[in-house]
Amino acid sequence: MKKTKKYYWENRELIIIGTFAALIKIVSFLVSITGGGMNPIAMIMKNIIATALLVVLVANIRKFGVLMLYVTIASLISIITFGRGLMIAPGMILAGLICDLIIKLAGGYKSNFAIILGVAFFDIMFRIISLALGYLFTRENPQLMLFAFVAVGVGYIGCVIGLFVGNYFAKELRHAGIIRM
Amino acid sequence: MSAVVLKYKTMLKNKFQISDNYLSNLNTLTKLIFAIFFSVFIIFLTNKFALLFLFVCSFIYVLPLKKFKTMMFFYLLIAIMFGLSLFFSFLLGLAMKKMGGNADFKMIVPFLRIAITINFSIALILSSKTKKLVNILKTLKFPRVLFLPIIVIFRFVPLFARDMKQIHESIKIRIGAFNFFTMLLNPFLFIRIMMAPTVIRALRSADELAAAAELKGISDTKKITNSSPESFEFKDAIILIAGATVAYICLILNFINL
Repeated sequence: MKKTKKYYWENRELIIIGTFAALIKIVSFLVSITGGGMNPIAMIMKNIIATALLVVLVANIRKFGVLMLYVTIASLISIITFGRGLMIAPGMILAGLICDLIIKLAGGYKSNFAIILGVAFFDIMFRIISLALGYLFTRENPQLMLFAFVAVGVGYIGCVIGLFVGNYFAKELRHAGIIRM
Repeated sequence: MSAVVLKYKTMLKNKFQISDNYLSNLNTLTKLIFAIFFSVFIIFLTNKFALLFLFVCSFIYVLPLKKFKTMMFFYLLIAIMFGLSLFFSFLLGLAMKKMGGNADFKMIVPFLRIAITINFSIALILSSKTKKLVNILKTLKFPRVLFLPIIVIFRFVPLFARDMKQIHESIKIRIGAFNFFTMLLNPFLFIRIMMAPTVIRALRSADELAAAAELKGISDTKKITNSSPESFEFKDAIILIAGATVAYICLILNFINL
């Protein structure tokens, strides 16, 4: 009988990462459209949902490298579908790896606190890298970055709320048996 | 009889639309190379004439698609965002008496950079079918850890759209029409009624897709091959050479510093 090769990442886990990468992109986009784009409520709401989904993803797949793989896939999708994101991808992958290490060092993937800490750091690093790239695009006129700073600051409030919402959701989903430990 | 005529009319119309548009007939990889290369290249350009020249070339490149409304929408969006940024800077300048309202704003350069990337993105997205984009992954021979989730993303979107429609219908039955004001007045209700069913549906869909992948033998060690590869033709070479020439002219314009 033919032996099946054992992989570090199981098919189910890879598919969940893909599903969540799509889900985060689509839901964020839908909330932005519903909210009319650049209004603070929509920006906060979008970030609450995106961060909460990311917490649920890490809580569902408790393996080292999950954030890095998620970021790699999200970046590749941006590159393949829009031809954009090549400049930001290396920084983001590195940020994903650092945050995976933070989770591992802060108590491992079994600890909810470590997951929240890792995702919180990931959100911060994601915003810093995006702002740095934004600066490269608008470096002739740094005043343009001011609005970006305000928008990112408002968005990060949503991320902080999203961390707790995600944790609550992960607990409930685990309780309901939808997320397996 | 009229049904048959209509069928042939539609077929001819579709055929005409595809053959009429040279971008759709280009190799998807060529368009992807263009979009990726120029999204990086524009960062190094600082001269407005070089960027303006590239913008005109990218506009000509995307012109056969005739998506003027989409392009105008994005240009307007960038202009609004920049306008808001400038307004904030102006307010801060007034408050701090440092930046000043008479600062020399070089709006054109950042605007052109973003407009160019948008043009190349529009050309890639609106002229390539999902199947062709997926085939690129097979051509590039990505490892299993990247290939499988990306395929899932492409396949998941229609499934998710159906789920979202069902969730939206259920919400409509329970609390009525769902819009921006619902989100504004009841943000927690919005999160609860939108997120809980969405996450549960997504996790169930992921399980279904995982089972389907196992049944189709995707976990096997065999390499994935491209069943319908796109050929690299003469027109692709012409377009790539034209792109390289445009990049070279842009570099010259950038260093001349007009």
